[in-house]
Amino acid sequence: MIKLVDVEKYYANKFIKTWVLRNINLTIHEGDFVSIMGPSGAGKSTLLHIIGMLDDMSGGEYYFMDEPVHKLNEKKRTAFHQQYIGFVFQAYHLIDELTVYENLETPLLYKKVKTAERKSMIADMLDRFNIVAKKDLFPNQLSGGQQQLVAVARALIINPKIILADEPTGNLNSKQGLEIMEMLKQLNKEGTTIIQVTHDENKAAFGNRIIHLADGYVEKEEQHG
Amino acid sequence: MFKNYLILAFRNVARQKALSFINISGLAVGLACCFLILMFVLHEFSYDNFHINGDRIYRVITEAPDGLSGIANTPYILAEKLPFDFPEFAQIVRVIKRETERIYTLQNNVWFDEKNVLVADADFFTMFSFPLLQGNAATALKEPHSVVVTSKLADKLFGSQEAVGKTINIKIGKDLYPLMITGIMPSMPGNTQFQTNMICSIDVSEESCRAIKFEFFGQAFDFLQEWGANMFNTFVLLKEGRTAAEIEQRFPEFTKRHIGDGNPVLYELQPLKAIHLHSSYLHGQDGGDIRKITLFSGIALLILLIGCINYIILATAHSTIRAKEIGVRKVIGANRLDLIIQSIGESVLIACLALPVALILVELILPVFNSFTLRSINMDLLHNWRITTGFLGITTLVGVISGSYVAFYIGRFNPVQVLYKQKSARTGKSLLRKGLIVTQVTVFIALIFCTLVIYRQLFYLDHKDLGYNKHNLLSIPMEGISVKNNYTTLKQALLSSPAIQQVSAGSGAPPFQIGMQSKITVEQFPDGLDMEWIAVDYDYIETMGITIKDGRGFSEQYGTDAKEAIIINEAAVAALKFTNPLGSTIYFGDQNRLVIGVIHDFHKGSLTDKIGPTVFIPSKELLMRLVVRPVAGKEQDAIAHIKRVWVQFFPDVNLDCRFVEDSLAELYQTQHSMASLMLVSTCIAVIVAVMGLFGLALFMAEQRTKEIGIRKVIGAPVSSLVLLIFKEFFLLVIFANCIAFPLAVYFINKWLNNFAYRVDTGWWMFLVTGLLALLLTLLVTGWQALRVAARNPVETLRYE
Repeated sequence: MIKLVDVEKYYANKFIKTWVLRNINLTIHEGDFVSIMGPSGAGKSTLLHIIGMLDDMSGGEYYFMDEPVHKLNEKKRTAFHQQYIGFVFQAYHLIDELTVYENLETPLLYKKVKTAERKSMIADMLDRFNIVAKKDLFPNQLSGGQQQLVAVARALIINPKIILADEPTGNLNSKQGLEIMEMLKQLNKEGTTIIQVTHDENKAAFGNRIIHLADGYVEKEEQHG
Repeated sequence: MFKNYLILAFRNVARQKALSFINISGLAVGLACCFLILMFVLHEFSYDNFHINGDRIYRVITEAPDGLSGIANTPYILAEKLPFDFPEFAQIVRVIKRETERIYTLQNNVWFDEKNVLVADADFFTMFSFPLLQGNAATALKEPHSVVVTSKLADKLFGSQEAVGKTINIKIGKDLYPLMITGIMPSMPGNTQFQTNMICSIDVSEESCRAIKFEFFGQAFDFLQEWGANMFNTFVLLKEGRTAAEIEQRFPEFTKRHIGDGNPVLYELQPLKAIHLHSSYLHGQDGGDIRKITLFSGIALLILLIGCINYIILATAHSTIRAKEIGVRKVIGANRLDLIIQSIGESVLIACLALPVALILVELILPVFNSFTLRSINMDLLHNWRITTGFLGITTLVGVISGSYVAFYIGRFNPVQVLYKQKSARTGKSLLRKGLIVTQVTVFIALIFCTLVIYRQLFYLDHKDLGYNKHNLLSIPMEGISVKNNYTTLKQALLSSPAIQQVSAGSGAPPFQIGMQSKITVEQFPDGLDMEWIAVDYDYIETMGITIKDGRGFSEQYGTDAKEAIIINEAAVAALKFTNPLGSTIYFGDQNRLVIGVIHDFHKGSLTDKIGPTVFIPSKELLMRLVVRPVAGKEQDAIAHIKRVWVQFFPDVNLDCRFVEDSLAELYQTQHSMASLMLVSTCIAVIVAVMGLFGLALFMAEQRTKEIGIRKVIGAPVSSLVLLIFKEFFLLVIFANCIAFPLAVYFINKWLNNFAYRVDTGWWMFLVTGLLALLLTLLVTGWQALRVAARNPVETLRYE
């Protein structure tokens, strides 16, 4: 489903090239649950952003469902977002001015889903995450765990092929964190491909593959279960 | 989708109260100004555009050879002669407007003063499309001594009684003319030059002209036959298919035949619809002025521009706070177009929120505006689709323009950067935002500067030494009264009061309306020069307080003065190229006269006109204006005395006794009203611009709360913190000054050049304006900085 060939990323300053990623060769199959680990500055998030098409790469090739992403224009990439990719962030990144319901609704609006269908999709999602009672609250009226739950729901509502999660439990306490991980595991079982960035061994263990990054290189890869 | 944006926009408006207030009020003020001007412009352009044959109606005007000045009036005889030479004219109508006449009805014997009585030829109602409520348009003014009145005047005169067929009496000069009402018309619409309540048949003017006995150097002057007696507006209706150009070509030949070669008169045809806005250069014409419209449209647009710029500056500044939201939207699938729509939608919403505020403002200002512009404009949104669509169009346009830049700006946000690197808060760094701030400050500096100069020029107009003593001087018109025989006794009677110092008279008194010109011949100019002359009583020069430069004034002790003496002004000395004027000979009128004195130049009228060469001749016959100088402090006694004497001498003539100073002030009424409008718009522009700066400073201070907290912790004094914020604006204001002054000087000089006598723009004006702008900026930004600096750093640094 995802194939990275010799992907590299650097920031060019006036005199210095700062390398963030080098020689990344990676294949991710449908149904994988991949954890990317590594110390701060290893390039974990950047790799996730490149996979999520939020960031450009400096070199190499990237195939998403056999489409050459490195050759696509912005419009096409946006179309990919809308259709296949859901994001979950460490800081939740819900829209503060919108209620839970409206936050869930926004991606569907961008996808131009019809009103009736939209309503039932949101209702389903609220149900599934058990947050029906909170649908009219604003993000700042929720706990961190609840906010992240909404964020996952928002990522999931477009029915993505893949969810990219950047330290999804980083801002949560251990109990909330565990709940979110269980949730992701469950989604994976139901068929969603998941790539998460984490530096917590325990959280990484939820994945079936663990990729260790260091100084921009893939250091090693472990296979689980 | 749209609903989603709308909800978000509303919540944003509600959450950012200060920001929304500045945005909405700024736009509302800008919109209100634009709306007012739009209505004004539409009204001005609608003058006399409702006449069915309007495209074929022209007014004959006399233009000066330079095309810069001219006379709106033409002689009576023109309309008599035109039909023979120009079969192209289907109709010719003369109209004369009489300022104030007294009318009364036989029934109740009460005098009514009726302003703006029109006298017109019989075809008036068929040429122009003014419907009659009663009476026949074709015949209403046919019969001698007939009159058409408005229903309003009919009500005033006769109440509920039938007015048609009744007789009213109108007094012109000292004669009474009985007129029969032959028709009733509705009140004149506001957008016509013919503002009147009654239109009389032309014979009234014919008779009143014949009644005036006026002699010009021994010859009776016939107002109805004389080509120089420009009193009437002459309107012509062209036959279908004829053009004004082909007729104008034949005018020179026409004038040559009727008037002669000597004094070429250039007749031209002025389209009816152009009369209202394009006649300011003509004598004897009031109305609109296209230049004024351009000026005020420009200023209104500037104010709107400032409002829009406020919005753009604040919205882009604010968007750095909203960067996260925009980043999230991009991540969850918004494409560029979605964000553009959202951004423009929000600004259109703000503009729409400003719309009702603007409408309320317009409704509040309109009465003042109307009384100021002497118009009767009303905001009839339901019936006037032009105004309604205009308003909606402007509002939407403002929203779209303001939103477009913001959309462009946020479109460039990189989601990774805004979501991860906290790279927000870089206000004041964007070149474009700086440019906008500079634009805004430039506009308000330029406006302040122009207002300052205008007020200085007005002060100059009011206080310049005019070459005579204008204070405490009364002037009384005596046109149409035969004073020839009893002038001396009248003068004696007036002087008998201890409150009156001096009494004299001349063929005119300041401010002179239209001067009399004649050809004078001297040795250097055997062909003669046209020069203005004033006939005066012997002590006129003294009474006026005009100073003599050389020689002496007229004196009755010299028996020969009456026939042989002439006094000229400095300008005449120069024009006639005299090196030794005293004793020179000038041929004037019908005889040679000796220059006995040279007076210093004095201003006959407005300071817009250069002092022209003028000669004075003594006369007791051509005196048409009395000048009276009361003893200082006893003006009221003097006026009371004048009234008593006047009634004895002329029991049936109205006394119109006015201070010269007041009449002079009236000359500059348009300038004064323009100045007040400039002042008001400058204040508005400055307030709106300052509000924008205030919002930006508020925002910047908020953004730098943390930085300021840290600086405070490490020991920065409050003053240095204020400086920190102020310095961001300081250079921009200096820069704006540099742009504003050349622009302002350019425009204000264009205005000042209307005056032959004017002030110059001094360096201190730049200094005052510049300092004022800096002070305002310091106040606005410093206050914000102080507010943040005063906060406890423990509080500001706690979170992060």
